[in-house]
Amino acid sequence: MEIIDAYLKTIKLYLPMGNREDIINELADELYSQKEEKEIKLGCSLNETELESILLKFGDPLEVASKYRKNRFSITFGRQLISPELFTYYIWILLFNTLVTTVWIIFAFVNNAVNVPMILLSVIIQFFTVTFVFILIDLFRRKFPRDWFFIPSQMVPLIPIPYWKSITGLILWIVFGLWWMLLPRFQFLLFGSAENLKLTAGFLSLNLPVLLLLSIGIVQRITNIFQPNWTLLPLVTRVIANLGGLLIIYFMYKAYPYVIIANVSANTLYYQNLAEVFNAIIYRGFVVTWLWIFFLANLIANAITLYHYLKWLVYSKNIQ
Amino acid sequence: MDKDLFQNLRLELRRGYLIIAVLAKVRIEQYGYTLRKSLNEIGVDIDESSLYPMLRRLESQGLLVSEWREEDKRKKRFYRLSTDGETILNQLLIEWKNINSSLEGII
Repeated sequence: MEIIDAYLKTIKLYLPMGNREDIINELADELYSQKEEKEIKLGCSLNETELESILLKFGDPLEVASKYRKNRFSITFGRQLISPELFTYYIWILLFNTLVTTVWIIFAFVNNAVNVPMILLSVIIQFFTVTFVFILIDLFRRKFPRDWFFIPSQMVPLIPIPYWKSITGLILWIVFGLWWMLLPRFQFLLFGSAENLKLTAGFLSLNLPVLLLLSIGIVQRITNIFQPNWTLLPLVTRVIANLGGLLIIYFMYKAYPYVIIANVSANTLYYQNLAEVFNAIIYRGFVVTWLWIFFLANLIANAITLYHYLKWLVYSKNIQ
Repeated sequence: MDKDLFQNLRLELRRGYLIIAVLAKVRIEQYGYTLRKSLNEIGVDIDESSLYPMLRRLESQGLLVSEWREEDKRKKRFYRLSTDGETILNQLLIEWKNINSSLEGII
């Protein structure tokens, strides 16, 4: 029963606003009718696998919901790159990014920190990055149709974590972890050729806590490669990581400025401006804007999923 | 032979006759589940994720009317053909028969 409700809830998330309830009620009737028909045929209640097979046949919640959208646009270049199911979300993210970029550009422009070519470049980079990410997501969805979006958050306990997910996460975390670990000693990894800049002690004091959080993520992914059925682990790890992330953001907020001039030289003014740009990007572009929103939103989402997971464990223990 | 090409052409062909089949079936009031079952019984396969959006589209076009009623302790949405739907269905059926006889002359 709970699986069907969870599945319907997931479809609801993707449905166009307005007549969500109406559509969900109708789909609920269809699913419960199918369930009852199967139960009559078998002469007993359906187990989890049998219920899951009904839902798998019904389809990916995102695809089911997208069929209710009037406009089904896509991006096609020889072959379909971004499907109609993802197109709406692609536009939303693009608009959101454009908004954030515009605010940032206005701020930077007022402070004489950017010029027109830099603005154009950042807009082009934003556009291509978002498009590329969505093309990749679409590719993954087609390659792994079941494991990708077809995981209603409350159904997490039922589905083992796919290897590719753990391995991709592990590679990303290790690469980022290495970069972060080497940063205090090799600061050119951040500043490039701007050698007269250095990180402040306040910023460097956060190096170890971030490394600790990253290592939690790495341990989780290694564990899930060998134990894909330990589905509780990523949830707990994410809650801890996002809580830790919020704490680190608070200390980062307090640690301003992050970049200063290393030595007074002939180019001091130039490096002073550059340090200000770095500080503004980190502070306004990350710390006080989307980074804490990201951690908080993730914390809430994962805490809710964890709550449903635990509720599910109690529920399945009771029916055993 | 390109399998995708065949599937695309098949889908295009189906799109037309599915609408006729659905309209013809709801001359007698039905709800989604029984409608899908009755279509399957006569060999018209349609999955749930296609049928329900289609019913809504046909309703928004004024070809169907619907109402929520309780049956077997559950709320169900019953669909039936509207007066406009009846007219359109008759026109589509004439068109269908014409296409059919033309095609038979070619094949």
